[in-house]
Amino acid sequence: MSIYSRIPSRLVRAPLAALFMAGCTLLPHGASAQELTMWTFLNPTADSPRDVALKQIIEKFEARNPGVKIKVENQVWFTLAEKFVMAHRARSAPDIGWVNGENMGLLINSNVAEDLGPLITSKWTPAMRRDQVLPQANEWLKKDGKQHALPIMALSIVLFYRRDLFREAGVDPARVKTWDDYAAAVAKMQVVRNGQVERWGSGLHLSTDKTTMSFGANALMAAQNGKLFGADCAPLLANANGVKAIEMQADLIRKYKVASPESFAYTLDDVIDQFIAGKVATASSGNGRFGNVVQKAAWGGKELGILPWPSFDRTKPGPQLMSGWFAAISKDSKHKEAAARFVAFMTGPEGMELWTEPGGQVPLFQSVFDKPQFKDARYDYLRDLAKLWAQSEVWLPAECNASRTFVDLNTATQRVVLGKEPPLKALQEAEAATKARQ
Amino acid sequence: MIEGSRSAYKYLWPALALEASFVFAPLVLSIYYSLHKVRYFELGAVVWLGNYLDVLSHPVFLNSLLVTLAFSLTALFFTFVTGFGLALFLNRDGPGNVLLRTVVLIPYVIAMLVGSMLLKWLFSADAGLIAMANAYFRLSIPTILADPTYAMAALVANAIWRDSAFAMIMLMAGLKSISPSLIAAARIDGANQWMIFRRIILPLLKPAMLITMVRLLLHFANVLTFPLILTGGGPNNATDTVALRIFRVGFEDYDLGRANAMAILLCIFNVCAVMLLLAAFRKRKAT
Repeated sequence: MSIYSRIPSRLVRAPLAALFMAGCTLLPHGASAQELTMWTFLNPTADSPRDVALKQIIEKFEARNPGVKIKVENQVWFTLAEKFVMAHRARSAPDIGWVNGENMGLLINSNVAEDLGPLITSKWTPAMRRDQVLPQANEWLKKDGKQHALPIMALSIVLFYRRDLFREAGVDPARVKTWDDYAAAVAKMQVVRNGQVERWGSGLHLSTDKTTMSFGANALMAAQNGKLFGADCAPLLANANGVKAIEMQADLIRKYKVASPESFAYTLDDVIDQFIAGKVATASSGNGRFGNVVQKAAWGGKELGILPWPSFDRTKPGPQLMSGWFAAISKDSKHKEAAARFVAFMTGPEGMELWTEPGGQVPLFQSVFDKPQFKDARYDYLRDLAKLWAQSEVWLPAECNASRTFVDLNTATQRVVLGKEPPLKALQEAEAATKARQ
Repeated sequence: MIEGSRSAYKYLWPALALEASFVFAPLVLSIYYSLHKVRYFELGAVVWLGNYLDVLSHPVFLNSLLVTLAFSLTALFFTFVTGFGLALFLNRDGPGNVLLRTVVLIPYVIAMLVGSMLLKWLFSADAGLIAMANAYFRLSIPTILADPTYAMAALVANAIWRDSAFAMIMLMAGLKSISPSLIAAARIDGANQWMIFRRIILPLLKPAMLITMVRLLLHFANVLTFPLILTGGGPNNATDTVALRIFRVGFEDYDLGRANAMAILLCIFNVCAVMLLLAAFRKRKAT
């Protein structure tokens, strides 16, 4: 008889069962873990401030919610919104999509987003609502009682300038109030060698591709109390204010010669690249790129400043056209509750702390601004920006398709500079093109 | 049906299935969408030929048709001539010629997007080679991308730079298929170089020439990358081709109904252009 046959079977079965159960706990939890797909232009593996912020937000959320994994699928920024809507139609939308302000009309009119009211905003306390720096951002995203998205980062198109160049030229930025002041100031910062302009005063982007608000559009809105659209999304372009604004923009090229004629081919990205390389003295861009410019500037990013927009009225700066990036949950998402938890975290005070540091964004909660670590002088530019917003923020109607209106205005400017059409006729064509899109 | 042809169909059906899935099905869908109002990627009411009438009466689309015609014909002529010249020049095998052929092929193997971005900065009067030439040699070359005529020339230059390599390859293959004994016989009979080229090489090269021209014309009429990246369609819509207009209307104005109508009209334009080319080559054969 073998010695093994003398071992009682329960002494074998019990340890085997225990080993089996222990082994089960080591199995991956993939079967029960929820994986949320999120489309964004940021890349958590990259090193720009906003990429790092997103990575930390995801890590912190996943640590607190072990059953949820966030899978980021990086997309090109200017096609994100369209892709999100098209994917919804093809029933392959991610759980969470980022949409920029210029395309909010597309999101709202296509009705592909889940109502975040019951999922998130209905759970806000009155204290949370009072804590918000831009409560109108949430209202802007609400249509017919439905909360289509929530703000991740608010942006405005700002006018970057270099403090060092202004100092060298003996120009006080606080004295640059009107467009004439601006043209005179930046003319002093131009560098011409052997008949070739090595540094332009003004970085204009007048391309009909990948563009946003240009100087002319800002000047037009300033003259119309921030309005670009009237009732029923009727564009307000072809009028005396429009003519004045387009002529000002065209004069930066043809009369003052502070902007390159090649501005016709420059996109927003091209102009910022040139600003970073020191080829232009001032440039407009979304404030979200502040950290990026500071990091990469060939001339030392510490000299970067934000100039209030000039206007035709010396007493009032030009408007801060508000936009931003907003989080929407797809109606087809199979993990709405988990997606809502992540969106609430990402857009809430804890997420906002990380968007501020290391992200470099303006916090959308006053309680974040009030934290001791944000009292440091290196966050002053964020406070200055928040003050500018409080003074002159403007939101275009979310339901109006405004994404190509700035392109229409750029085309109008090109026609005027090339002498093809008088300003009013060019603006009438721009107005017709915008109207056809509504 | 004889046994041979029955079994031939067995081998044909995968290709036919692919053709149906990737060519005919999208074409039928495109026609279907072009007959509807499609906003924000959602199918709306039937408008029958409404989208076509809208498009054909729009001055911006009519401009883009003219731009496409001008660009594709100009680019075709210069690309073909350059490719033909390169094929004749580099036809003989030898280490030098092999190296030169490789150099000529480089623009063709670079992604179109990368090539156009390269040229955009090259042509830049602010930051590119033009700027350097202006600065160091005290030239005053105008701003290429800001002038409607020069911008179109830049677009054509992009096409030549990239696609003359393709023309060279196709025509070189045709040249290599011509038997050297024919040329040797012609020389013995006293033919000079020009007579050999005109009476032997050109007629025998006609099939290769036709294929090259058809392929190039279709490519230039439909290409999106060049105008999108190099000029953005500007300045003032001077380089706004139909392909770019389709992209803008479909994916920036979110009007897929009109975009599909434009696409079908472009398809008709392509078919007509190819038929004209085929007729031109057939005519020459008859005379």
